[in-house]
Amino acid sequence: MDRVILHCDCDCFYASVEMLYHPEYRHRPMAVGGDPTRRHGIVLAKNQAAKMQGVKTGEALWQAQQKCPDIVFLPPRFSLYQQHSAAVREIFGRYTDQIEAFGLDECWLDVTGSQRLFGDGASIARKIQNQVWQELGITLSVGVSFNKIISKLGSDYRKPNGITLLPREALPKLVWSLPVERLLMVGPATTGLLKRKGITTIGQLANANPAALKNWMGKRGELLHAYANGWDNSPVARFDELQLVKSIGNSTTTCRDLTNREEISQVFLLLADSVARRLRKQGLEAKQVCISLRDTDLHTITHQMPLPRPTCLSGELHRGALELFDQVKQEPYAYRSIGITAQHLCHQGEPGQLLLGEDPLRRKKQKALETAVDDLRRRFGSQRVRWGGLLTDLSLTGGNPSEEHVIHPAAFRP
Amino acid sequence: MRKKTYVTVLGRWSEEGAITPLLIFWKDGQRFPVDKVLECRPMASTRAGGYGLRYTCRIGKQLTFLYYQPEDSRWFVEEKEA
Repeated sequence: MDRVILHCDCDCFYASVEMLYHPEYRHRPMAVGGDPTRRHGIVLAKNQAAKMQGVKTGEALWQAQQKCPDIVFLPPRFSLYQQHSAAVREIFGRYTDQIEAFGLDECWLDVTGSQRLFGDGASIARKIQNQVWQELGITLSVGVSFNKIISKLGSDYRKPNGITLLPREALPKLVWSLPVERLLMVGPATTGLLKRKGITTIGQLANANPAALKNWMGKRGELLHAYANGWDNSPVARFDELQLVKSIGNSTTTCRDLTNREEISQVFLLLADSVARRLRKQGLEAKQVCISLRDTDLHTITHQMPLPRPTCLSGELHRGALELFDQVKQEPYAYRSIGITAQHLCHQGEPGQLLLGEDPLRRKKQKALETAVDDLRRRFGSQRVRWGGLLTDLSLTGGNPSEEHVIHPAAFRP
Repeated sequence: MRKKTYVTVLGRWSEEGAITPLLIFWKDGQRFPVDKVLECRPMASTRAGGYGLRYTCRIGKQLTFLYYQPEDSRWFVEEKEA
C-alpha cells in the first residue's frame, strides 16, 4: 500500500513574506538581498516580476540591477521569516502530525492516514494552499507522490502555486526525462561526476548499473540509484522529533579582504567567541575544530583537526583555528570570508583525560569566567562585555555573528 | 490599495484568553463602539500588508474589518486612501 507524501515548497519565500508587508511591490520587480555596503550583496529571493526579467537567486545585487534597473532591494528580516514559517507549519499541523521541515520554506507531510478525514493527497494540497493564501498571504507549490524524493521533484514541476501529482506509473514518463541535478542530494560535484560517466538524466541514473555507481561514488552511488528508481522508503519525521546537533559554526564575510595574520586572528576570535557561546548554551563541547577560508576568487578551502580535549572555551577554539590557518595559508593571501565550525560534539561534563603538565584548575576557572560573561550578556546585551582584542579594529570585529546569523537550509539526512 | 493604519482599541479578555474589541478610537477623536463581532478568523490583509486575526465588526450599519496582530499585540484597519 503506497504512502501519500506531500512536499510543500513556499514560492519565493522571503520575497513573498516581504510582499505581504509591502503590497506596493507585488507587481514591481523586487528582491530580498543582503547589505551591499558590507559586501553581503546577493539576491536571497526575488518576486515573480523580477524573475521574469531574468534575476536569479544567488547572483550579486549589482548583476540583478543590470538586468532590471528599476528593481527594489529589501534587506532580509530573518526573525519575520521564521515567524511566518512557524505559522505555515501550524496550518500543516491541522492535517497531519508527520511534518518534516527542510529549511524555512519546505516541508514534507505524510497524509496517508489523514485521507479519510480530509480527502486524497491532491485535495489536501489544495486545501492547504487556500488556507495558507487566505491566512498568511503567501503561495506554495505542492508535489504529491508516494515517497519524499519524488514528491520533492513534484513541487518544482509547476510553480508558483502549482500541484503536481507523480504516482508510481508516472516515473518513467515525467521523472526520468528530468536532468540528474534535479534529484535530491545531487549537487554540482556529483552532477559533474555523473556527466563524465555519460549520465545526464534521472532515467539514465535509474537504469545504470548499481555496482558501477558504487564503484564511482561509494555507498552514495547505490543511494542515488535507489532514489532515481523511487525506492526510497524513509519515513517523514513527526513534527516534535528533534534533530541532534552535529556541528556548530559561524562564518563571516568581512568588509575588506584579510591580508595579515593579526586581522585573521581578530576575526577568528570574534567567531570563536560566538561558537563557544552557542556550545555552552546547548550544554555541548567540541572534540574537533574546522576552519573555512574563502579567497577573492571565491574558492573555499576547509581544514580540520581534533582537539587535545573536548572544549567549549573560546580561547581553545581560537588557538586551534590559528594553528589550522598556519598549516594551510599560502602567502601572499587575501581572504574575504572565514569561518570556524565546532565538530564532533559531545555533552559537557563527560570525563576526559588529563594532559601531562596541565593545570585542571585553570581550565575550570576559564570556564567559570566565560559562563559568567554569558550571563552578563544575556542580562545586559551582547555587546556589553567583549574581549579586549576585538576592540582594535571595530570595522572588522564590530558585528555580532551569534545574533546576525544567516539561516541555511537543514542538510538532508538520509 | 489601502493604508495600514494602527488604531487604539478597547478590548475585553475572556477567562479563556479570547479578545473581543469593544471600542475603536479614531485619530480625529471620534469613538466607534463595536456593536457586534460577527466573525473572527486568522486572515492576511493583502491590501494593507500584514496578517493576524481578522474581526468582522458591525459599527452602526457599517461592517468593518479590524485586524489584531499577535506578534506585537497591535490592532490595525485598512484605511481607504484618499
